[in-house]
Amino acid sequence: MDFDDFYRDTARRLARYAYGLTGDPVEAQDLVQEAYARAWQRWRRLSGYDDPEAWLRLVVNRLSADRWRRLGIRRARAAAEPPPPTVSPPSEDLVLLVRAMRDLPEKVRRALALHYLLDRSIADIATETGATPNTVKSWLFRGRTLLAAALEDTATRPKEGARRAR
Amino acid sequence: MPADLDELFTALSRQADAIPLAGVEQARQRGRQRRTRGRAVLAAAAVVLVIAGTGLAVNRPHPEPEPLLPATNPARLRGMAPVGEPLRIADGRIWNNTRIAGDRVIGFSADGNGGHETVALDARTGAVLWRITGTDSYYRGVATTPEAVMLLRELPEDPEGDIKAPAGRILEIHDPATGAKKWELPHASFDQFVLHVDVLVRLVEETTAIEGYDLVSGRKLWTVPAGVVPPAGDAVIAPPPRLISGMRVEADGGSGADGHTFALAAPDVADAVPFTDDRLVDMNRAGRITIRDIRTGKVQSTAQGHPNAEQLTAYEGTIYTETRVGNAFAITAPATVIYQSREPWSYDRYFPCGPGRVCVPESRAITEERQEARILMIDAKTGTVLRTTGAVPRYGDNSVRLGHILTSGTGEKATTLYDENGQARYSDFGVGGFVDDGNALSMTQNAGDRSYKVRGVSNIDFQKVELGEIPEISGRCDWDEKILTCPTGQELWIWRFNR
Repeated sequence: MDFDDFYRDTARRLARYAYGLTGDPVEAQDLVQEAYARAWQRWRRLSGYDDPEAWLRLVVNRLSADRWRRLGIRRARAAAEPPPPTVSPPSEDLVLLVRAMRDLPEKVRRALALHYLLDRSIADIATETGATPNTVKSWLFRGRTLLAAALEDTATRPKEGARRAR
Repeated sequence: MPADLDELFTALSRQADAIPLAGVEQARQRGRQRRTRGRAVLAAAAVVLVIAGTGLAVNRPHPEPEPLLPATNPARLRGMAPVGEPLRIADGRIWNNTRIAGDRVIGFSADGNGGHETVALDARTGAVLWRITGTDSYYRGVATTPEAVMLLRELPEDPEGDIKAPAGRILEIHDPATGAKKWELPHASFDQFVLHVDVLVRLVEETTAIEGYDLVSGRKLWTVPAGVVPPAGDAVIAPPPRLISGMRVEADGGSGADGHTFALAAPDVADAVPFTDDRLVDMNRAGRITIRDIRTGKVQSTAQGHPNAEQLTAYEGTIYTETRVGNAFAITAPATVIYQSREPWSYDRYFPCGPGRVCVPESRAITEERQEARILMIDAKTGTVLRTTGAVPRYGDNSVRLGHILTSGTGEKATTLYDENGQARYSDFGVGGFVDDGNALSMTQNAGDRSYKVRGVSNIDFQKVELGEIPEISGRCDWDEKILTCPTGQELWIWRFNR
């Protein structure tokens, strides 16, 4: 497979995944570019993998996982490259969802992103994460309940919700 | 609500699909730059243009003593004030790292060509003491002890090589007084290190030999040759053939679940806290434990632990491992299983929380709307659960001072301080840790200008004091009982605590 074709076929999905993990479009853009830069370096070997897209997600997981590292990304990106085109602002509900996602444990957030943003089955997620299907189910259940609670909480406190959204 | 969530995720997908991507050519270009420069970390890709607005960032310390709160011992943090002027770096550069080395603050900046600029400041005045630069290849960050400044250099990757193979690295050890390079240690990224105040120990992953070096001079003090490595069995993920750990003692404060010094592999994101105790623990896959004098490598005692351990840590004479029993995670001390995770509780990282005590944070969803968390305190000899207390759901680092637990990470709240009875006495959304036995620090980011509010939290009466606000940071901060130092883009700041 050609690298350009691979990028064209997978970049949009990887952006979804990165956005689901980070909740930050600028950070998601940067993670996607960095993951493909690393993929390009190793393309000869990577192109022989059964699922090179899973390797990209692994890179995104690692880059996005560290709280301290994330703190510097915006600034580093702002210095290194011209500003990317802006994204239209999300609705208030989406802002609340993104904020609630950020507070979830990394494994739960990853499972939700794979399931709801990439339409991966529980069996697929289990294979990718090395967990059992039951564990994946519990992550998804836990994620949904925590998100529902967070959204319910903000719905019953509209003033605070509006304040958070700003 | 679930139906609403489905709709929200659909909307989130649409929003993600609208994110503009830079395109394949820019990815290729970035890949070429990485190949040329041997660079491996996103944060270092920074620095070719001026960072606008850094100088305008707020800095509103609260130097006035707080008169209402009573005195504590150790004295309460009551404010902080800048030490000198922030050190500005040249246009097109940012500070990536800052670390404290005795009376010096070491600032680190990776440059656009993969090299570095490292500067030492007098922590009392902010004056520049020395400055060194390197242009060889990608420098990842700096770690320090009072006696050593350690720069981690990554060698260029072989783009055609096996991506699972370890990366080549060099640890450069410099003199904190002059910046002069004293010695260097080439190694591989899978090697493990234990950083002691006087000795650097390396476990060579490829051979499983262990080497001890004098930290200041680089003289090799001792070598333990590779032992016989038992087969990995039928485990899906083979447990490591050998593990090493320093012996953490209560006075050191920190108590992570890993006994080796992870910060020497990732100094950009982790802080290296040197071990002060002279005992080194090593354990092979068969569970054979050997305790040595870290200065000589001589065997002091041996013991039998649980085989196939995946993680090793030692605290106040007790050796803990993490392993698997069936599909469940288990903690052993050293051969006895003292904890085993059980559904529906989800297990987070354990941590020693006192001599002969280990604490295990757990969490579970109890209803469709609530998550419950708890911390088990377990007797390391018997596995008896001594205490179960409610906890604030969160995942991350843990440390203990005066029997009080401080957890910091992500979750419903980021930082929580528990008293000796396990009751949560303070929580906020910041990142932080202990400053000394009497105080903790928490830094909370403001959503608007991304600056940080710095709070001191008493570990005696759990009262908080707002110490000040600092600009948005561009890398990991460091602190001790006297100062806080942070990289904030083009400026490197030092603040002195008022008590």
